[in-house]
Amino acid sequence: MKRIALVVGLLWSIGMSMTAALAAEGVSYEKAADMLYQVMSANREVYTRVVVQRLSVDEEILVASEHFEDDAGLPLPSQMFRFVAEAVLDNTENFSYSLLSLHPINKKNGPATDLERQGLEHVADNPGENFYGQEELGGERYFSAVYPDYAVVEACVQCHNNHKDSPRRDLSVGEVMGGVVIRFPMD
Amino acid sequence: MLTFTEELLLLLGDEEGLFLPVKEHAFECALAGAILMDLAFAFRIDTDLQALVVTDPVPTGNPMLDRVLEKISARTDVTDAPAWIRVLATEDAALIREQALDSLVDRRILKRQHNRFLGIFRSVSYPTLDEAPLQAVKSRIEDVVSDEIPDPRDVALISLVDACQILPDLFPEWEAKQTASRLELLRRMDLIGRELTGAISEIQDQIIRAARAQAARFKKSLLTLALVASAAVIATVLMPGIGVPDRYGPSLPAQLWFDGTWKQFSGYLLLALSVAGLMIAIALKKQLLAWISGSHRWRLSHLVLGIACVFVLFMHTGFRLGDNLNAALMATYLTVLLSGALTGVVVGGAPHFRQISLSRVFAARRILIWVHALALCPLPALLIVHILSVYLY
Amino acid sequence: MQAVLGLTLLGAAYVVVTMTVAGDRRMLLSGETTHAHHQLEMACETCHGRSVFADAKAAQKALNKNCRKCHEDELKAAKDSHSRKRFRNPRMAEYWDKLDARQCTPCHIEHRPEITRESAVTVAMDFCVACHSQGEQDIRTTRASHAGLGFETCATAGCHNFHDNRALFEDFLLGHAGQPEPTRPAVHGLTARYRARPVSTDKALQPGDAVAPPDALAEPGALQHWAGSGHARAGVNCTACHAADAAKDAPSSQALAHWIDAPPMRVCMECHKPQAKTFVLGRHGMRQHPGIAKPRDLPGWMGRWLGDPGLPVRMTVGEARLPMRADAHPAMAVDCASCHTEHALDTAHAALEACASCHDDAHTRSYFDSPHHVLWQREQAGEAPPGSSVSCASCHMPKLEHRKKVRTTHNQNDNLRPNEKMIRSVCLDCHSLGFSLEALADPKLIRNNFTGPPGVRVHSIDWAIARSRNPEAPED
Repeated sequence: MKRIALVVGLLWSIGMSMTAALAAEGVSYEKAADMLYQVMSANREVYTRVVVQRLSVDEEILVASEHFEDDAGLPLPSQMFRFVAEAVLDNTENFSYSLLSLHPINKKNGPATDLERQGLEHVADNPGENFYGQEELGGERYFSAVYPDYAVVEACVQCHNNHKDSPRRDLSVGEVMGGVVIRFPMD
Repeated sequence: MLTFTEELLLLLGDEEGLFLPVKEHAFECALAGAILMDLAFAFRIDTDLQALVVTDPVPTGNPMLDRVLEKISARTDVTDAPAWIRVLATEDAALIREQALDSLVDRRILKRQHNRFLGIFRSVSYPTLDEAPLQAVKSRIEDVVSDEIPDPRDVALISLVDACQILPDLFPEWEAKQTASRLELLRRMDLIGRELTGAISEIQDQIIRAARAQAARFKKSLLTLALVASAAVIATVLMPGIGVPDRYGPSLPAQLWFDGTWKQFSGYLLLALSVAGLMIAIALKKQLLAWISGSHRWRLSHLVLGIACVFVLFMHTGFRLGDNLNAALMATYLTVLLSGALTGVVVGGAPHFRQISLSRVFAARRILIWVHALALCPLPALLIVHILSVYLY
Repeated sequence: MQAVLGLTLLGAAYVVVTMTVAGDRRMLLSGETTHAHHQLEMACETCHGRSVFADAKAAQKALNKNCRKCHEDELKAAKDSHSRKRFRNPRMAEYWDKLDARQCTPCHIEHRPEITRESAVTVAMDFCVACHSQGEQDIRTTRASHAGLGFETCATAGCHNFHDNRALFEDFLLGHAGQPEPTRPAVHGLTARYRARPVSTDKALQPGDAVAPPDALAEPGALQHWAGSGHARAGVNCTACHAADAAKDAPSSQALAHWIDAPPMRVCMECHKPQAKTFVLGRHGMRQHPGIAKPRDLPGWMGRWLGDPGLPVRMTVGEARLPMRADAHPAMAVDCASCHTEHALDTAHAALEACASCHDDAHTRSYFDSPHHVLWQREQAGEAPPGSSVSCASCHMPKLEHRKKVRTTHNQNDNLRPNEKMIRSVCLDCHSLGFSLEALADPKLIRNNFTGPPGVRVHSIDWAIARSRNPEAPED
């Protein structure tokens, strides 16, 4: 019993000192990731509602399409999300993020690291929970956070259930479809 | 009175450029022969066809002679004169030389001088203080060859000198044929006491034979190595560049010839080997290595280094000859390697082309060494440019 | 010996100065430069930057930055399938060791002619094996139709490209599947639109309006050619080009004081900006690309002695690596007038005869016996509608639409390599996708300039159809 108390105490103090170390530099990685995620998801929501929903569904002016250039239409919200993520990488190496899934339409959006797989499984199995961890990639240590990505509207589900390349066709609205992974290099 | 050994050393001197292997090998044997002759003239040994025997074990008072006398008395496994020449030439020549030089220094005929070169090579040289004894020895030889009736010691001396094949160097004005016939005549004349004739002619024969055998061995190794080197250089020029496999992923050829790290490794290795080869050459040329007992080995190692260079060059280039300045570097480097290898072929192969006179061989060798050195001159400049361009671009 | 040593030291000093300060550095080239870059050989900094003794990684980075300087836009337009952006994400770290797609140089190194393959690729053509042979990316298990295929065929059989798959991706194949070959004469829509555009004659000038010195007016043919040209129709008088430096509204007598007989190319470029912009992107005009490094600066007297060789402004026939006609003068340089005959500015000539007056390869020679040429003759004779014929320019300098405007691209290399780039901008106007894919994958057919049916089968459309019908089951 004493030993358990000792171990718990030790772990607690290590955790506290790490948090303190992170806090000493300003915001903790976890908090920074949470804030970025808020911006991302709000952006996506606004694009979906104000641009895609209005122009392609409500007013039927433009189609929203995977091949938006050939179809002279709007990029899908998930595409828009990825374009922005790529544009961010052009501007900074201080963080990166991606929209991934355990059953993606395009294989390149499946988990590429062990942590991604672990995180995506965690958010799928534990709705409402995020996943935080550290991993080493290309010789550098990263703090990685995984946030659940839900099927918000029927359109998401429709497309994913009907796409010929989709490995899963039984999705329903409200279900976790994948996750957003946010990464910081830890100096 | 000087011993034969000392006289011989004076005649050979520590002069520069005794590059002819026959002489060099003869020198070790001649030193062995000289000391045997000294012992024979001191009536301590006698030889016949079967054996070399100690007739009188009483020391002569000369420590150099007495050491050898003791060795001959003590060892029973070596019996005849040829065997003793071989043994003394390989085991004792360097020490005999040292002792004789010490003696000459003690008599203030030579001066001992310590030198250093490049902080690495240390050497001792022996400049002459007193020219008289050398002149005396030379005039004695001259007298023998002219019509004077020679002294037995003089006949013995000239046999030694003849065995070393340095007569043409000492007296360039002499006609080789005339000298030969005169020496033949002297040898047949019973000028030396019966006890000595056998010993001297036997010793002289053995010196020549042993020297030839050594020279032949050296030349054989030289020729073999030089042929290997020449073939390797010619292959480097003629072979098409070895391609890399048409498969994605690392492969040995691709890494050797297209990977920066490997190229740097092989490049600097090549540079190190080339510098080592150059150092040996300089050391040989400046007589900084103990040339009496080892220069032929160093010369062979110079050649071995050359072969190693061709091999590492292959590692570096894979038979590619390069473009522009790289091609110029390659051409110069290959010229150095090829001229060096061909020098070895000419010297080592001389006995195999008897119809070509020795002077032609010398001329060819001189030209090749000149090319070897000349092509060496632009190498540092081209190398600097080559290395710089790799890092700058 | 010492003289030789001294001379070489002097030589080395000279080379080191050219390396570090200024001078012609072409002697340092470690191997033949590719077709793409040999025109820029004397301007090392265009690619190499000035990363003196930087560590290998930094030098590579600098080099790749310079690649992007000229090639980034084109990759962006190609919807690069393996974009640098995607691979820069640290989650792709696992792939960096396999084939580092964050940089250009792992696959495209310069000055290595021996390992340089099609499209300046310097790795073996089975490079797809690096990533697409393992795990979830193993194409042989995820696509049953690909099970028995060799990786060396991915990028060489007309099915995939590393960067540009705009006309090869599955949905595009499906969208164009089953199309029959159109009945001829088909018409290239943009060309037809371009030819039929209304041309205003409000400002048209007559031969009598020409403002030029008497001897220039007397030059045989000049006046007559100009009078029939688009310039005269659009009100562009002689002085507009020959005295371009005179004030725009200067009276003709003053303008004549600035008269020059042979106006430089920049005069054309001033008005024809879009054409000039694309001209400098292709091999004919790349020496004027703004990304090319300027010669290194040196103070006056030193510059005269040691200065970098200036980059010639124009490409010449003699420097061409492609086969050129024996009667094309080696010193002849490519500028606007080389193709657009001066004064007449004949676009029909520029679209065909001009090309064939220098280029002398099998593809060019075969053109004149090809069905495309028959169409050209018919349109020229007025027997076929505008836009129905195919000249060299139809394919290599196609009409493109940008912001609702149709223009001729003057970058004749834009859709050339890999040749599937041509499908969308050119081939599909008259041909089905299936035919186009197979024709472009058949080198023999390219040599004889598409005379006859393709001798190569490309299965990509069939496989795409099979998979779309039954995504789970192995396709065939």
